[in-house]
Amino acid sequence: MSATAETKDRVAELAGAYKHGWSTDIESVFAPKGLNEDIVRYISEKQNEPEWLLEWRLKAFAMWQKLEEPDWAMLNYPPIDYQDIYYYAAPKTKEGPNSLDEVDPELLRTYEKLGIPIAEQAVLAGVKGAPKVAVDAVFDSVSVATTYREELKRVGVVFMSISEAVHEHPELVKKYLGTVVPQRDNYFATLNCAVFSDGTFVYIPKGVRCPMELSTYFRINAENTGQFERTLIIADEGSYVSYLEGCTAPMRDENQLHAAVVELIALDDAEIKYSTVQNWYPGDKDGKGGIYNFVTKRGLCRGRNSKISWTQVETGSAITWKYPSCILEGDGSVGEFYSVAVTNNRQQADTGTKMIHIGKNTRSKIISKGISAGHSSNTYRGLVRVLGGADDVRNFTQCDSLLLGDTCAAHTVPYIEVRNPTAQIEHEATTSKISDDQMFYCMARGLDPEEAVAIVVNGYAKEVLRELPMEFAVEAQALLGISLEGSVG
Amino acid sequence: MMTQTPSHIADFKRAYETAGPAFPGGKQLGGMRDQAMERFLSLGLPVRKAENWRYFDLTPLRDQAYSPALTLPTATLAMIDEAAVPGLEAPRLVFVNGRFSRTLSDMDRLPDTITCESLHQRLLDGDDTINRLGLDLADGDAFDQLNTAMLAEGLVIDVPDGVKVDQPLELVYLTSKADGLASHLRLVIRMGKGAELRLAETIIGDDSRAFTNLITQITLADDARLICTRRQLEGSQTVHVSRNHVTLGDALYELAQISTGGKSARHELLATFTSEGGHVEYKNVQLAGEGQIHDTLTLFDHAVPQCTSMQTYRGVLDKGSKASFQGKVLVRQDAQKTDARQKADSLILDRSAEANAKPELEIYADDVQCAHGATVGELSQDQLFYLNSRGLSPREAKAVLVEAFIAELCESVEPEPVRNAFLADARTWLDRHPVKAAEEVR
Repeated sequence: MSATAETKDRVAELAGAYKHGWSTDIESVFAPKGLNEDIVRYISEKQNEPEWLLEWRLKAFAMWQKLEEPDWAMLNYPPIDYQDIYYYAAPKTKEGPNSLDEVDPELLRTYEKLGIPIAEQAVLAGVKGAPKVAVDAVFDSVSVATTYREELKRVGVVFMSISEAVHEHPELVKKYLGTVVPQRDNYFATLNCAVFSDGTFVYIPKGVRCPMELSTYFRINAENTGQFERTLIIADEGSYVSYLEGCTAPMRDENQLHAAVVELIALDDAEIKYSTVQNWYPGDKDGKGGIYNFVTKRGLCRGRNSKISWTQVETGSAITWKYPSCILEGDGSVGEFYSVAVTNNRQQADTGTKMIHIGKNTRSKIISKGISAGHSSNTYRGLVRVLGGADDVRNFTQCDSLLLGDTCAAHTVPYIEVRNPTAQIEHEATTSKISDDQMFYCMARGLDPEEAVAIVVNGYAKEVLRELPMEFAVEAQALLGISLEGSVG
Repeated sequence: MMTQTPSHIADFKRAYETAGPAFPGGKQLGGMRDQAMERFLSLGLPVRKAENWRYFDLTPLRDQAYSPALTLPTATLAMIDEAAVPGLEAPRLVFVNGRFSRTLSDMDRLPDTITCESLHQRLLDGDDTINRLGLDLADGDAFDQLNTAMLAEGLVIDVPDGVKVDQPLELVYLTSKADGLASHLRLVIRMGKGAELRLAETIIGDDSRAFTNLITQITLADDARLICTRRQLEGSQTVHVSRNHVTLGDALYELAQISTGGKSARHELLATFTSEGGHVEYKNVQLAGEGQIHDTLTLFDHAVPQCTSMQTYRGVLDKGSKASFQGKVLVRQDAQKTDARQKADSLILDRSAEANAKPELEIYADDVQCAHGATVGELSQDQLFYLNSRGLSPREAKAVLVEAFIAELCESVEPEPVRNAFLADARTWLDRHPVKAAEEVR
């Protein structure tokens, strides 16, 4: 998709500042600052959770206290004071948000500002005949509204906040929660297990092709809050779902912590497509403020011929630590990872993927495009592992880095570990800058330097952008332009 | 709080206490060794968790004590002749069981334009200049420290400004009947401005359970050229850890290596560019068979602009082996116009083998060309079928294809006798590998 005139208009319109940098005055319910067993109990109680889940949380909390924060990533940030964070902040609402009428109008306006038509019109502005998008909005820590539930219910799709799912589908939650990302997986995931407040739960029954794109918007609003959402998506045999996730946060001088866990499970012949546009507040140009984004995302292709595809456009966050991965357990399963990561100013990103080939005839493809500008640092870190029993594995990896300016950094840290001779693994990486020829060509045709960079970058990232659902692709293109503002000239 | 010292660390300490008093050199050197030993004791051997050691196996070093040879071992000229590169016209410098052997070396044939003396002799002579060689690797890891603590044997080669040595130098390291032997060797090679030298090394051993810890420190001034080849043919029970520290100006450093030996065998090339125009070329062929663990680690520090580097790695892995390549290119902020390339290809012959690659780029400058590629795979069934249909047995077909896979690297090796030795080493390995698969046994 080329940068259309429309896109350019949007870039121009959005230019100037972080678009989502406002905060909403909504009364929130906070848990006291800090983290201890009581906070874990408080969160659990607030959600009215069953005993087994509380036990599960407490177990994770006990583990977390013994774990050490990882330091292997190429990231530099002051130590996080885990006692100086609110672990639970919920917008005050009346009795459970069952319908939109009950939701605080101020909140709905927030979502309107975000550009999510949460009410009736699911068709996004300007995109004719676009499929309907069901939205689950997570505000600070709590899911506030889920649209189109009825319509989804008719085909048997379960799409609700995870706190509701615990009550309505305890057997499913109990069966799958923590099976892809074990409680002890890593420091941030374990923390999430202890304090996760809400998130999204999706279950697609056998043979169902989900009739619309499912979407969640996450937003950190309250000051000093951490957001610890948890997403669990299960695609039963032969089903298909495309899931979109968008993230924003208002401008704040303090750093805010986001430690989410996403678990995907695909059974036989099922396919999950998971797209993320991450636009958390990246901090100002001197690196003040911004979100610390420590996210564990993992998909398990448990069934034969199942497929999980991650697509991410990462433009926000002061710190990104994120490795959406696929465990290819079922024979013939497929994992894909498409990523564009943009860092500007003082942003730091250490992101990539893991493809663990366990089943026979499993295939994976990794396309990663890093773009660094300003004083930022952008690292691709990836692992392709082929276990002994995985015959006839194919992997193709391409990770390219683009440097804009001589004060930024781009790193590539791929790991390739193969224990089966029938595997065919290919890995390529390049590092380059935008050539003077490309700039000259664009500028000779009347583009200013910033537009020229936006166009070249969009072309560079095309392989990834075209994997996004159309509604997101437009937004992502605009975002790329905005994120790189001020990086040239 | 006292923590229990692991027994293998205590073994190294004991070896130091036993051998140390006999080491040559003055008080100052003794102090340096003591400090290095202290650092070694506090560092301990690297653990699996250490990023640079994640694929390696140091178990053999933990299972047994290793100490340096206290007496001068003997070997016959015939043994050295057999080990050396056939047909290479070159003065030989010979180490046997970690000790320099003057009688087996051709000291009188060395070109008189260079200085070349064993480190042991230099230390015995009480040479003051020894302090200027930078022998103390205070910032190094456990192997650097151990090597410094046990510093007694090695070579110091100086090629003065403008001296171009036509004839190569040949270095032979032989380990024979030496269970529990530790060879801690230190080579210092200093190339003056415009100096040129070729080195051909052969490291060879029997199946003794020995430990080679070889550190080479190389500095190249502007316009110098140092072309090195190395055949690592250690015995199947030996632990081999060798490390080349290279610092170069606007100069050329080349190393071509073939490795078939060792139980756990590791080579590291750490190169730092200090002025514009430097080039490093590294070619490495690893042939690993049953029970062998081969590691290659590089760190190329492009600290200044306009330097180029090329790393090519080919690994062939037979039954029950593991071979890993961890290469890193660091391009610092000022190092514009850097051109750094890495290529790592591995060929797996058996499903019990494990190939790992981690070609890493760390880049802080924008106007650079850096690329790496890595592949892992097996022999193409089509190619095997083609050769089978022309009458080659499956085994012969495999050998032909493996040879072709590594020949590309071997064929550019100079001079010719060394190239032939590389190919012969590869063929020797191929005679024993790939281990016959069941369906081939008729």
